[in-house]
Amino acid sequence: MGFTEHTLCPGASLYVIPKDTFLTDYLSVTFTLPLDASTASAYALLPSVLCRGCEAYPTQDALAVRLDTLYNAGLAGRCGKSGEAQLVVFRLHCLEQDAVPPEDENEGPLFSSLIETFCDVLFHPRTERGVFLSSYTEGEKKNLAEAIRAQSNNKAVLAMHRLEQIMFADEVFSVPARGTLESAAAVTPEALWQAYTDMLRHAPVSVTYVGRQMPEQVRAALSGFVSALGRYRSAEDTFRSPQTQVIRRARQPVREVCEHMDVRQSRLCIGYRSAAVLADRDFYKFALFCELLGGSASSLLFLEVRERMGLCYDCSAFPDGQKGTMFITCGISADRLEAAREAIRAQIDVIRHGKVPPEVLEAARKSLISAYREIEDSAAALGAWYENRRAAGIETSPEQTVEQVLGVTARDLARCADALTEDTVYFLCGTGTDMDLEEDEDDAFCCD
Amino acid sequence: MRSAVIETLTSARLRQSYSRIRHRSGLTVCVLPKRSAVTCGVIGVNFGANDRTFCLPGGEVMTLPAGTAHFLEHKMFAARDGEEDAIARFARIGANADAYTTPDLTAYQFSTTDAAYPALEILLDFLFHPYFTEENVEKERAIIAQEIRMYDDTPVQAGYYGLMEAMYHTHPIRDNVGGTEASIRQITPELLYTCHKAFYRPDNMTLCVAGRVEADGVLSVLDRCLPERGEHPAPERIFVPEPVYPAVQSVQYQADAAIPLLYLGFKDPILPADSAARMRRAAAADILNDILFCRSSPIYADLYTRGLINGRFGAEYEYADTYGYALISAESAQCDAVDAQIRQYLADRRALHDITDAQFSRCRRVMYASAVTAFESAEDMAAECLDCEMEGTDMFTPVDVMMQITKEDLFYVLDTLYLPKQLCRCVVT
Repeated sequence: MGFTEHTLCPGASLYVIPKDTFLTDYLSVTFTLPLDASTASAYALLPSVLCRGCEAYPTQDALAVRLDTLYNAGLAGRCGKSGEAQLVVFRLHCLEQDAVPPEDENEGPLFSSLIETFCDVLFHPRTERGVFLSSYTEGEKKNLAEAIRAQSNNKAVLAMHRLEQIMFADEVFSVPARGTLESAAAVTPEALWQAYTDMLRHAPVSVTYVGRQMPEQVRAALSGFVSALGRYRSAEDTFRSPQTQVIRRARQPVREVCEHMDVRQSRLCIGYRSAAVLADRDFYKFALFCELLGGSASSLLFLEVRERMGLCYDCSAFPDGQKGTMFITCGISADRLEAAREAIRAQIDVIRHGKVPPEVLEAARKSLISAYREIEDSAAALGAWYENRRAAGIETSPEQTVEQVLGVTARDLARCADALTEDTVYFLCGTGTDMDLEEDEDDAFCCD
Repeated sequence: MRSAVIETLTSARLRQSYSRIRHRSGLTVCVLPKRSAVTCGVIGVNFGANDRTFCLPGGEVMTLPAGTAHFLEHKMFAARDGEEDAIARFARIGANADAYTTPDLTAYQFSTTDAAYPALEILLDFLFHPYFTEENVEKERAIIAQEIRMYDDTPVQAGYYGLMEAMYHTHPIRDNVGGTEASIRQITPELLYTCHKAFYRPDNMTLCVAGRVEADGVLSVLDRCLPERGEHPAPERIFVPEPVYPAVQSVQYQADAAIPLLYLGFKDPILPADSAARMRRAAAADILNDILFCRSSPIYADLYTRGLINGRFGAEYEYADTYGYALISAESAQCDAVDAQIRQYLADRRALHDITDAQFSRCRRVMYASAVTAFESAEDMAAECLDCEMEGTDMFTPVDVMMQITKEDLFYVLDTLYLPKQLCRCVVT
């Protein structure tokens, strides 16, 4: 196990991952909340409204000046989704103390100063009439709405978003991490304050530190955080993380949706039920399956659909280990939908029938092993690795997972392919066709 | 005879050092040992999208279709029929490989956790053994066309290239790095071979390797894999003199942007021939941009508080020997209001020269921290080192130059670059 666990206060734990190779100290603070359409936008707004200003640093520029003075320290909040849980995450980083120029060393420890600033932001926000400032709330609601709209700028993101909406229409997972334009518009300063106090009172909190400091030093730096958070909690409270609904086989028939848009490149997205979740003891087999199918430039999809058939620029597969799903996404010409679907099916069949060339399988294995080992080089990636696994009830380190991947056989992968069921196909149909490349002026042939 | 000259570069300020090797083949190599899991190698070829017209050693002047350097980058990974291509060779040893083309260079990189020297050997092998055929070039044309379409559908790309087209009269930076579907139709295997022979030569390349490597180990691979130094120098680039003022003051594009995008470009009229002077001007411009437009600047706070911008707002300075520009970008439903406020803000700063000591010293802290964290990962180290070395400097000099910049340097950039007559605007809706 690559970390030590320490209880901070009811519902809050500290995980210290010792690493002496980084030039920075890294800390993440994660609040785990139920994913719910009625609160998603409020929780999504919280980090940005809190970072607008607090009693000590009343404006955004005052806070920015403070962070610049702490040698460009990072303090950022964001909202995400992990399975059917909504996460409010704050990430902090600063230069490790030895990297501070000698002339500034008497200004006190950078890491402790950064955590003090974070506590100012989290526990002492600016208020009026007992709730968040209306101006900050309204300003961030506008930004949230713009961020939701902006996802249409990236057609690959837009197409994946549409696939998720269709595939998970009857599941909690369909709730977007930031909510919708309508739910964002409905948030009031009072509702936001309610979400804030609910979060501080009831959400399980996971604090992860990566760096050179000893656990007792990190605990000491967090003493202000612990006492402030502790005021919202008592030993009798219970703190439960939300459970994610996992559907292991797709319903039949496969849902197929085609939408037209005036864009040059079409996007094909396919959603599968994978029957494999991170909490399973053998999820690493499915991770290797995805890597082999479409995880790198040496994967079957890349080699076949892009390199041999020249159908696309990008074609990749990736799993969601919390929800038990896999997605394939690629950018193609409007007239190559069926060719691409057939090519993708054929590559899954290659794995299912145990026909993967040994060198391709070994390349995928090495690629995945390399990716796991690279995690050790990033404090954020290392912290996220253990957080994801703790949420699933497992504690394997990247290196332990490497050992497991080394033992996966072609037969294991064939079973993964057998368990995979196609659920939903979404096609964002654009105007560009392969005939355009031959200077043909014919109208685009398109899907129905 | 020794095959290379090795020097050690050290920064007392950053407490870092690395080796620079001048190999007999002409290749410049930097070795940056680091206790990391991954080792990264990146080789930069001094041949980018901007290198469109040049004079071959025999005197022949060639003009390339837009997108040639990028097309060549894609095709370098190809292998003879029945042989493994470069991607497969890297994959067999557990290494990942990638490549990219910028206006000024083409770069090929690998990362590996346990096969640094074999990966380096593959990199140095495939770069000097191209294989282009009518068939494989034709297939790549379809893939690159998909890439061009993907970027065409991205408003940010439309805005950037819209601005470049408006700002520059003839300079090739106005063209998309990948070219167009029409321009790449003109690319043939013969053309790619000609470009490869002209530019893919050790004395026109720089290699940077960071991670679990040592200079001796790298040198041993170089001695084994590199071809001899070429007889002729690399081709001479030809650039048509570019007027100092923008070609067009204002343009607008429709690209289905969810929120309109505003790009304000200031075309730099001062392009020092000397690389040290260029670096000094760029350092001053970077500091100035940070003070004037970063998250702690007065205009950012004001625009954000009034709801005129969201978090996607920033300023940067880009330059090479033949171009330089400052770029301010914002996402805003009210681009005209943001534009007007930025113009007034800059006019006030030029009139008042009111940058404070506190702003200046805070910005230095930010820059210093960025210089320290450039050594946080092997990947960042290799990439940063390549940028510096290909600009003719090392990783440490820019930090020292930055520390020497004075407020007068900032005011000089403010008064010569951020002028209405240098300004060009592009709005994407």
